[in-house]
Amino acid sequence: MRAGYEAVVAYENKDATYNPRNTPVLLSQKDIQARLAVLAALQVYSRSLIEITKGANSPDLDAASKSVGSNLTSLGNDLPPSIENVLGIAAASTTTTTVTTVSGSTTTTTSSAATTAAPLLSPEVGNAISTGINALGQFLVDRTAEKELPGKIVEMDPHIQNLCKVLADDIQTLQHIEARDYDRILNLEKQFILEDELPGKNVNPQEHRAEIMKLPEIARQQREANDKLASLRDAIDKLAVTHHALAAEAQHNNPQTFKEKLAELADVGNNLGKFYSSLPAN
Amino acid sequence: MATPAQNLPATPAIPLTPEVRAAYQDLYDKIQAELDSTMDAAAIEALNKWQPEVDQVLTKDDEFKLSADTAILGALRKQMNYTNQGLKTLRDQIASIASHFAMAGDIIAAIDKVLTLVPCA
Repeated sequence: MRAGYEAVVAYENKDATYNPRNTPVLLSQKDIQARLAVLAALQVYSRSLIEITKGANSPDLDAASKSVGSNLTSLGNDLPPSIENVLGIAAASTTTTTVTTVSGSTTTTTSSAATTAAPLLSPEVGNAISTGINALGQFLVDRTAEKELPGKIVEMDPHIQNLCKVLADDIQTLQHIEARDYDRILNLEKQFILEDELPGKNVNPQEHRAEIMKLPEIARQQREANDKLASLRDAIDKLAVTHHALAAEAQHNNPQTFKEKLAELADVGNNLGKFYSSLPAN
Repeated sequence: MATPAQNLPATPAIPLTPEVRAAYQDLYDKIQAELDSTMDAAAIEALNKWQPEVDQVLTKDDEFKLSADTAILGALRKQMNYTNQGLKTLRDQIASIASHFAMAGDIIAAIDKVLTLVPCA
């Protein structure tokens, strides 16, 4: 929508450099699909844990698990740079200096007056994300036996934490960009309306009212878009926290509390499912 | 977008340090607050011209974090130079027609903060 408003500005300013074909695209369809694939895998993963614990064998879930897992394994082997590089968001947001080195779970910051680009993503971290995606994909393809589940959950926890952090930071960045896009749309709409009121414009009153009435609708869309991304980020954050608690519980050999934690994880996984059902069919 | 000025100083750290980013964000918010609260066409026109350039600094910083693309790194540096030159113009413009801006002092202070952190030639 913003692109349309910017086109009007370009034409009003007789900006000869404007070319609609050069309209920037923040995320390609491939980038979006990569993110959705990881989110879908996390949701199926949480459902699978419950099914395995129940000893239930749901053919539908088994098929979904294998399908999502296979898809993910191929992503892990050929990870889209956009997914790998979003770790840079974490590096930037957790340091107050310009140089950050991340190795495994350790982040080292160095004060520096460097004027070159900070190394956003070390090869180790890139490998950790690829490994995490592969591990999740492999878990979904292979599944596991109930008695092996606690150990598997502990093993999976660092991978889940890594993936959730990457996705949550990525979504937060997209949230900021989207909010500013809507600000711009509202600001330009307001300017167009006021310009139409200038003497000599002779704008059709009905058309003028229609333009004014667009403002609250745009503001509503802005809130809705923000809420949707905020909910998704919240669900991912909760998934990470809940999984970590589950992994801790898995080492205590208390079947009752383990099942309670599993149920909590299932609830959080369902929230991810709500995000999918809110997406357009295409 | 117009061609960025080329005669500008030291290259800033990319991605932006938290302090520099916060200064641009604060300026963006101050301009947005003025835009939300005014019906003055001249003020809106002036602010609508430069707020997107501040937005571009923040957006390109976000994009660089998403993609770590060196092309975006260069684009962000040029954008900051261009934006900061424009902010000088906007500051003079606001000062000359301050009566059109309810928050003239706040916006000028936010501009000065950015220009202090990322000075222009």
